Amino acid sequence: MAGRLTRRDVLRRGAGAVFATGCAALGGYLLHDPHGRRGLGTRAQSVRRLPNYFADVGFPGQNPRMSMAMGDVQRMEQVVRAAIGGLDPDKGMRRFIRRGDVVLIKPNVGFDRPPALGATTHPEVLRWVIRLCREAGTRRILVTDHPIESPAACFARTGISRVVEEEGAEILLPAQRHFAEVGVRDCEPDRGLGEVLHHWPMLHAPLAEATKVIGVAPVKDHNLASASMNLKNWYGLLGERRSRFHQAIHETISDLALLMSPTLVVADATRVMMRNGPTGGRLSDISPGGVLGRPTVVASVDPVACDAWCYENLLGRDPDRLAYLGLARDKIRARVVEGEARFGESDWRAYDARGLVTMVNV
Amino acid sequence: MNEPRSGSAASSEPKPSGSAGATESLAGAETVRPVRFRDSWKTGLLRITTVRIIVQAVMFGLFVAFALLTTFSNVDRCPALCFWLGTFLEIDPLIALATAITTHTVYAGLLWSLIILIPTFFLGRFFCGWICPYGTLHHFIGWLFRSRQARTVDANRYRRSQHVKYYILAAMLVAAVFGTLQIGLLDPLCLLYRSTTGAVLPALGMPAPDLFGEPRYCGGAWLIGALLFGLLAMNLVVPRFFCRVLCPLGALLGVVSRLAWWRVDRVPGACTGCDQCRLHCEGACDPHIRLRRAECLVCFNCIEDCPERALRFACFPDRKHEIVGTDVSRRKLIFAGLAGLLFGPFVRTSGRQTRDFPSDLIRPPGAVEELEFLERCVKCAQCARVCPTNVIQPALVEAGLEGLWTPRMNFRIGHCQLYCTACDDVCPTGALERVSIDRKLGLGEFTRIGPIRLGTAHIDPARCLPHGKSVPCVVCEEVCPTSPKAIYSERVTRTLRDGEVVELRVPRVDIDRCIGCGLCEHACPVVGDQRAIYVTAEGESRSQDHPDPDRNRSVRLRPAAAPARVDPRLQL
Amino acid sequence: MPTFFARRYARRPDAIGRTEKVLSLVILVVVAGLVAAIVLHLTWTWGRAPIPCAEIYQQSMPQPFPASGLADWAAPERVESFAPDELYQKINGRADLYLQHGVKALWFGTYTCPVNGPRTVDVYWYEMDTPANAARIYEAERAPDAPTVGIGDAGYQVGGAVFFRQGANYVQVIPGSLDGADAQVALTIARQLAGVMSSTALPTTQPLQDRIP
Repeated sequence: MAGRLTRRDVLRRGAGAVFATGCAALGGYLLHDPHGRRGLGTRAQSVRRLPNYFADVGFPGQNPRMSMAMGDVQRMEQVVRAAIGGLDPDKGMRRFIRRGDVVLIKPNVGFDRPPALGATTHPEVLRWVIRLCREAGTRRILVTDHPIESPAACFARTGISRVVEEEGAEILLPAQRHFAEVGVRDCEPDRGLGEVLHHWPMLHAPLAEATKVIGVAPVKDHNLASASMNLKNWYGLLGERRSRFHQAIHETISDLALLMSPTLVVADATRVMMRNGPTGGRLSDISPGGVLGRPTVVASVDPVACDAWCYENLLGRDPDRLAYLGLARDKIRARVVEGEARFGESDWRAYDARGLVTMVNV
Repeated sequence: MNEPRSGSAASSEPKPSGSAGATESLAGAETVRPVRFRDSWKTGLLRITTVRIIVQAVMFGLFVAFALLTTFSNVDRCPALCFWLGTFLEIDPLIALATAITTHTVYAGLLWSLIILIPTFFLGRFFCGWICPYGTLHHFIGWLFRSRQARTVDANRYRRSQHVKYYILAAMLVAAVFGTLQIGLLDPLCLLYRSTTGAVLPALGMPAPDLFGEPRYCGGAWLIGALLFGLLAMNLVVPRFFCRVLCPLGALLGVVSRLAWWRVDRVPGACTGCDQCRLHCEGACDPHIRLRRAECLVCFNCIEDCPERALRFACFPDRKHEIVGTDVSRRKLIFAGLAGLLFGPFVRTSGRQTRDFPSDLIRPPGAVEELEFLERCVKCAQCARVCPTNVIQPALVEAGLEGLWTPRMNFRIGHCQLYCTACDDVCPTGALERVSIDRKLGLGEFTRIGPIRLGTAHIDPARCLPHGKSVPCVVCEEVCPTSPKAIYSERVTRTLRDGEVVELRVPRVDIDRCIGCGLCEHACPVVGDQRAIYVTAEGESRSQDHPDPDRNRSVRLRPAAAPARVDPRLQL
Repeated sequence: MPTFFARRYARRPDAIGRTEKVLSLVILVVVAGLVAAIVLHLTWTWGRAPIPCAEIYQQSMPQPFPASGLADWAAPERVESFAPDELYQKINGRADLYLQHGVKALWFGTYTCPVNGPRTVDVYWYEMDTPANAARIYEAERAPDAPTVGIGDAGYQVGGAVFFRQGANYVQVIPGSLDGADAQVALTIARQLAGVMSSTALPTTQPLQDRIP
């Protein structure tokens, strides 16, 4: 170094160290974690909640809660229109879907099977549900499911992907980034009360984007839960290792019934798997319309009652013995506050007695 | 007439040259004063080296495009993609030759290798310099990153170590004669495909899954990636290290280059000994003295660089101007062959392919019997790339030393999709045969012989929830995709510890129906190293007819195949 | 481009020779053609590769019964199917006879006509395991003096009901009215049924057990 030290020199050369000291001190102060808890992975923090997709439908009290239509497979359009139209004779689907809505339709695409086997939603039923939504003026229609087998193969072989593309809707194939923690209840679940779910990774991205949710599920036998219908349909939204829930399947299904309040559910009974569900595999297990004998579609704003009706009239079994129905009713009743729009009645005859069930032959 | 100088690090002082550019001596690491020629764009484009760079870029781009496009959903949608995506493997003459040695046949698409092999007989190692995407990668990495030392003339001198690739080739081909195919370890295209599938794409997919696909699992990816990266890193020191020193395909093409009609030829009369030609010589083939035919990569850089126009690409040049053979020591070659000769017996003596076979080695559907499989598999990982459920993983030790990086099923990661034969459609050597869905599932005309079984599922009653813990489950029965299901349940009544009596359904495996698809193992909630239900290789159909009892994995007498007939209206 | 490829040293001073230009051009054209061919090949064939199963979703139900061939008569909407062990549910004690003759399946459907009715024609379609067995059960049930009709491999009609066999199938077409009023209808329907059955050894419909879809 040459020359004398000027003040400017000192300032310039000293400032760097001082500045660095200040940054280090500030950084240390801001990031300090004395007990080590701040730095740990926070799984419980970003738990999301699902909205009530039925809340702004404005469903009139005197409208039917369940509507069935029976017909032929060749005239599926009339059957689906009649079923949904039965819920509101004036407006039909427009009662539920408004212009500008983003609709998520959740069919059952759980298995890599041809549609004739009844393990998945009939593509034609899905086609007309999509068409009705489009006529009601939606902005976007999403179709998704989370099967255990390869999603691309399942959507293709069940005929769903072709129908969705023909109708101009979108398929969302589930990917890792679409999943997020969704909470059912705030506290730890109490097994004694039949509670199982606290929060769990679910296929949240389409649920967050949607303003209305429609479930379109086939009615079929299930080896563990006794039947897989509208409420079991939401099982397909669970992520991670959901096979664990088989240990408490009725509690899980009723928790899902509590979590998800859809706009509408459509039960597909065009071909009902009477035995060996949920994957089935024998054509001899299939019966069109189950016990009724004719292909049937049921639309309802009350998924629990719809399940009860389908269990009794399509599968020919006693709904009082279906454990998850009662559990679902109790949980919904306990949770729903006064004035909130939410139906969860497990005794469908109560609706029938009030004339809130319609049936039409197409 | 100037005498040609032998290659040395320090050149003498320059001869006055008639070129338009001024040069200085190339001593050590100095570069010359830049001289630029302004070609018209047409001339610039039509320089042979420019064309070569374009072709290299196009070939590498094609490889990258195929690598990105090869996903299950694309392959399912576009059968033509199956035709193209293995192109570089199919035109690889070493794969064709080695599998011809082991199997005495040339499998299907491997015949395309003739379009590389035959022109090599006339033109030399143009494949290495123009087409090979792995060579292009080395070339590019070296050009971009290499140190100052490696940019000198000295870096491109011919090294004795360039003999190593011939020893490697000899060892591998001799090993192939005795039934074990190991060329896939170092063959450049197999290496590149395997590294892309196993290391590069999963790594790129982690931050950007939209572009590169969902990140996939790959067992031992670190080893595959380290090999790739290590070899690329060597380019910083020795340009095109892999191509010069290790590549067995380059060795093979070098050996057959001795027949070539066209060669780079140096006219001694015009040569001033300036050594400019060595500055960008890719193959380190000594163009400044006697060109080594077997090393020349036909990159034309020397012709481009020579200021005296003393080099040309000539037909039937003077023999005195070149070294025809590979110049390897015959004794060392025989020793390498000996190593190859002994490799087979050394690894087979363990008995892992026969009597001591590992029950966790489950091969993909369509695989041929194990010893034939080891004769064919080139460890290219195409099957793993296209598998929709990511169940195919490269084996590390499960298949023995021979089976390093051969495909095996890991049912903890995925399962074998019932209606899928994607892995069979992309195998270039026939280690996985082209089977139809009918053959795989035992439908239609194949009902008498039954489905392809990968193995058999077993339930561990101690770990199984209903069996051992009295907790309801039967997920395995639910997900079993066969029809009728291979897992059925029995109702049992148990008394729990607190006196409560419960009725449970406990699962059981029907050994005649199980095809070993692994869905049950994949879905079983008892996770961990050993699931409560797990698949082993016993009962695999690929070996059940083998007459040698040590290679026969069947568990039972072949049952009278339950006639699984199909409603023809379903037209599966 | 020339500046990019310019090197920091002397290079060939003159323009390149004509041979080199031609060769370079040829190589560029060939490579461009190759790339174009690949791109075209892929884009032309890029579509949905046919997945066979999706095509059959129109048939949501196994429907072995053809149309009746008559204006007013509708094909069965609801078809009952019975595996051998369920046979007794439909035909009670007679199931034993069929089981002895190797029955594989029973398909039952009813053709209906609303005009002057409702009138019905029941069809019992038995799939046996071999044509020989179909012949045996046909003979076992045949009344010796029943007039033959030219339907299927062999057939007869008694009291308006038509019984015939074709290949490994044995079919009974039984009108609902017992007075023989719909005898002609039964014949027409039987003819339609025989038309969809192949007369080769393999039955057109397959057993109910052990199907793998």
